[in-house]
Amino acid sequence: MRRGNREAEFTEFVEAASPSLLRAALVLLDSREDAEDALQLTLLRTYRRWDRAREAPAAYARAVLINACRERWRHRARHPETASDMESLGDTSSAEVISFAEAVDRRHVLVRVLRCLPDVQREVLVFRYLLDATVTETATALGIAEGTVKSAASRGLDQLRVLLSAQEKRGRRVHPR
Amino acid sequence: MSIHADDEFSLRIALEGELDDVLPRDGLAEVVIARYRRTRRRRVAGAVSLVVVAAGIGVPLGLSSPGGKPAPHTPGSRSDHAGSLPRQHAGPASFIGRQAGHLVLAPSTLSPAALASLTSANSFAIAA
Repeated sequence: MRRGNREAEFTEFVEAASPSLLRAALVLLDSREDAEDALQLTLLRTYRRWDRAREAPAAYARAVLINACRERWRHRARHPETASDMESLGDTSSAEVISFAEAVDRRHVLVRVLRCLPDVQREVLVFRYLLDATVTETATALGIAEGTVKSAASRGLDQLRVLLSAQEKRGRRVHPR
Repeated sequence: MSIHADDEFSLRIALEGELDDVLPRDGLAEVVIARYRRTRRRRVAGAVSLVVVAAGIGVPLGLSSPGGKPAPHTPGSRSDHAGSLPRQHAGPASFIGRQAGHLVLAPSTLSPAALASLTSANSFAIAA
């Protein structure tokens, strides 16, 4: 394949897919800088294997993205001094985390609630509802069974509903209408 | 904000609404391609320098040789070349065979008794 052709195809893919990949990375990780790093690493690895990835670049990039995010979690676990404010709260309850995050930034409520979910549930919800991956694609990318994807999605949505309604009640108490 | 009965749809809409201002920076593809080229150049340079270093170490050890010629003999290493003599000894080798003993002695140098015992033990001709 000619280099110019390869670059043109890749550029087109980046323009189409990078916004959703960045949003997914932002939900999976906890800072914009980390998300942008993970996105750039994902695109670099995808471009390196473009001859193979070009058949289904979105699926390939999704699988690379989740690995990049997991690498960053492992790095965080080994170097806790670089952990963000959200993580440094340690074993505080989800409600406390939400209230802390709320104090920092009142926007992105749903994103912060998603970050309180267990890793598998969060990954599944991001893949299914943010990256528009099918159950099969999600299972393949995350390396889990399709049944696990379905159950994690269902439990994740239940959990999300509970956390959001708690958040809503607290908001009403703080800001009575 | 609440997730309703149609959870999948409402979650997707809610996430899109929250994150619609999250956009990657412009020219991301160019940045990635430039980074890829830089990395590849560094890799190629690393591989070339590894070959150069390996050859540089290999030549003095006799493991490889410059220009494809046979490696010179170095002490301590076994090579398949035949030995050669120093220049002053060069020339056709002569066979030194055992010849019959031929000893010429002046009769005056030995006593008669010694001369008698010598001639009985060896078959020397005595030149008078």
